[in-house]
Amino acid sequence: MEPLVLQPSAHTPSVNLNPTTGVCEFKGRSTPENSVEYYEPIYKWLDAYVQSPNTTTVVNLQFEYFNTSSSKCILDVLKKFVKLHNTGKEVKINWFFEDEDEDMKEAGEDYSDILEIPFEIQPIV
Amino acid sequence: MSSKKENLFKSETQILEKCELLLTKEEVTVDEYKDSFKELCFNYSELLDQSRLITRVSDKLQNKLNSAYEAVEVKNIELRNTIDELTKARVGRKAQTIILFIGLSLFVLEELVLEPIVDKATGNDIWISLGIKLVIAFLLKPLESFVEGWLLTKANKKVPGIEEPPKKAIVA
Repeated sequence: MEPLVLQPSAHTPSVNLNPTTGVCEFKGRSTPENSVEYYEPIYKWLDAYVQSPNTTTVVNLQFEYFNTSSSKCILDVLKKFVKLHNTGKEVKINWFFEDEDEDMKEAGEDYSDILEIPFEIQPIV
Repeated sequence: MSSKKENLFKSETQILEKCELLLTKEEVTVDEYKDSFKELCFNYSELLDQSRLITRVSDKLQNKLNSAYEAVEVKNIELRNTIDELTKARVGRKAQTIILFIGLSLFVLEELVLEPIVDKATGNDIWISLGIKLVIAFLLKPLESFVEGWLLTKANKKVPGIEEPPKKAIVA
């Protein structure tokens, strides 16, 4: 399985999904014109990854900002990790936020609540 | 509904279509209805949670956007003030140079042209000559203010101003 690397742009985050290390990173702002189109390859990659995952999966999310449709797409991405977690695999989700960015911190808490999976919510030092 | 939105809620739309299809069937058992209703309730609950989450997150991000917008407005005002001060300083220096040139020209003209006439008319009265020089000297300051004001108006017209940001709220 090949890693999925998407370079960041002014409206899209950088994505680095590595099946060998099990580290999946999302960083930056997510305001694409068509969120579904942007996240579609990520869904497909994750569906394949869930079939043969690493022993431990670490998900690092560091968003500056995302629009409403992206918030739904991020939820769908996280659901796939929850699905993996429910199969008994170790999944660690880290939600990073800029220090003093309470809104982004609370967004992470909200995701954690709805998905019923603990997030490691920490400020960027 | 746009195709983009349909794609965004693809799985939810499929669930709805499945239930709607069941309603169109003529021979459906109670158990089938029950199972379908159970599934619909589960998915509805999930959709409700999603809606709550998206609304909450969206509101928070709107706050973030509003804060950023306010910060930009403050920076905009600061930038505008700095530009104004720089323009004033530049115009002030320019006005001083112009006035220096005008002053020197007036004194030279007074000395070469006006003074011989005045001397001839008044019989070499040194106080009149000094009075004319004083009048020129006292005129320089108001003249400088006038030139400065004129240059400032000209500069403000020439320098493109920083546009006022729109007052309406930004929607993500």
